[in-house]
Amino acid sequence: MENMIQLLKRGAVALLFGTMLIACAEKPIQRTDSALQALQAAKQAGAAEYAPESLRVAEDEYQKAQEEITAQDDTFVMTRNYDVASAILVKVIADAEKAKTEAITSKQALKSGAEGAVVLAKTSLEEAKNQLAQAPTGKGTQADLQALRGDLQAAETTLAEIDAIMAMEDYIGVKAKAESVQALASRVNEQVAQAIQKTGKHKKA
Amino acid sequence: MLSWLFVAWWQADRLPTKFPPQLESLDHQAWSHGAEVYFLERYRAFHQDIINLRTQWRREQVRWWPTANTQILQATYQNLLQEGLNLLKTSQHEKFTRLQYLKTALESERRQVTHLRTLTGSFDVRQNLRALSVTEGLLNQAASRLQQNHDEQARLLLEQARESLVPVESQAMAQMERYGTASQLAKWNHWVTSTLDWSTKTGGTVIVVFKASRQLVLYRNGKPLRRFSIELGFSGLQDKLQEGDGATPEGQFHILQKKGPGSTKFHKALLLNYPTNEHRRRFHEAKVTGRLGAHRGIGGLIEIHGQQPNGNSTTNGCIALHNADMDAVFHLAKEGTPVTIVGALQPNNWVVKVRGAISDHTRQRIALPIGSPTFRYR
Repeated sequence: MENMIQLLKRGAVALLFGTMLIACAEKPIQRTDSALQALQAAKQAGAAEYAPESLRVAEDEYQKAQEEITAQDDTFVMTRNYDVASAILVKVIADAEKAKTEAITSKQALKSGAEGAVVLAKTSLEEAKNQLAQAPTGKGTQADLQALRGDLQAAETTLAEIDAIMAMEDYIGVKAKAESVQALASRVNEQVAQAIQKTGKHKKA
Repeated sequence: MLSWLFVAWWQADRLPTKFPPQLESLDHQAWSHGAEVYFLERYRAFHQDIINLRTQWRREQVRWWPTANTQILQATYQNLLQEGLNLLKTSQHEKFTRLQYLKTALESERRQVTHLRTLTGSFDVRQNLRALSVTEGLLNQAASRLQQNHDEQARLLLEQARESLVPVESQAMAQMERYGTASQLAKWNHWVTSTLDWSTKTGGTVIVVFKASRQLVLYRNGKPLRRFSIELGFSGLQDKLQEGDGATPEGQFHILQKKGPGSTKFHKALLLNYPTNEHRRRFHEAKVTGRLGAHRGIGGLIEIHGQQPNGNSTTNGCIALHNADMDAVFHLAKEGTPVTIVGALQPNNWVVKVRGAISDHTRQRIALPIGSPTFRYR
């Protein structure tokens, strides 16, 4: 009989312990850390600028995961369940990685576009300088030549600014500046060509 | 009793198990269209309301028995849905309006640069040519940004462009001002009237040069005989003060010397008696007051001549005609023929019109829309 009672007692303790083990689900702390790291990595890759939409999706999901964790924290200890929060955090990690990849790809594409525009701008500027050296000179051309030199000086100043903003990875800004240089250089080319056509001669080299 | 409770519980109004995604989707769309940039406080309140609603929604779902809160939450959901739609619509409109506004401002600044560039060859804008080029560079960059719908970056570039234009505008308007002043116009009218009176009295030939309209008119007996188009110095519409300023002198002159082919490289030429005593007086006064350096010269050799051998039409201060026109003028003019050079006679001359356009632009220029959240159109 005593053995029976002892057995029942042990059984009850084991049942209680087992129930507590099942009911007391663990907070997804590690997964939260991983999600935060993934978000941080996406931001460091420039997602805020180059993949803002995807980053926003990941951040919104992270907010939802936190809400879910808080909600579970507020419930009775035996009924807590962090499975949903955990699943959302898995999605956050995936979304953040997607944002990171998108940012890297987009940045690379913009970088290539910007570098291409800079090469084009430099070529146009060199052409314009050579063209201006061939421009007809003589009485009364000072104002025209000065205007064209002004264009080229402005273009050169803009081109010199490009390195600094390239280092800051502002590729959209680089492209805009390079296009501006090209526009000024093209105008010089056109105007010198018109002057040559008008006077019918090049300056002697 | 138990079955009644079960039926009541079963039929009770419940919230959907999953928080409906439409509201979150609207939040995302409104944010994408710049709601946070243009309507910061309103957007943040909306976003926070969604978070709060979601939390309450979750709490409500874990209750055993639905309460009156269910209906309140559903009503809140509907209200937020409406606010989200409004926010999205307003943000879209705001973005569109800002982009349109900036595009208009960009075009307007480009027109201003064009106006200022038209002064090249008329006024001394040498100091400003680089500033104009810099402005154009900035406007080009702003245009690139606008193409990508980057309104804030475009606005900053436009601001910089405007800043670099302001000193150019001020200088240009100062140079053009005398073409609209009554005393200057009266002086020019007086010179022309006295020259034509002399022509009427003596029946002689006189030459009058109107710089603003770039015309040379030959008069005889006080009546116009022939009219020719001319080119002037690179700062031709300014009054000559010193050597190399590219200005065409104003005043009452006469022809000192006729230079036929072989005596000039400009086909034919009529040398004027510049500088007159009046020009010398002004030149010395400018030196005394420090407007001119001590080693500056007054310049000379101002002529009415034919085309340049290199085909350029602009001069260093002389008055240039096509060779055929020069032949006609040369034939009718003699040594001693009066030549009066004025800016304009009418107050609505070309310079006044251009100055008006530049000035109107500066007056009508209004603040560019700035970022969150203060910009309003009306």
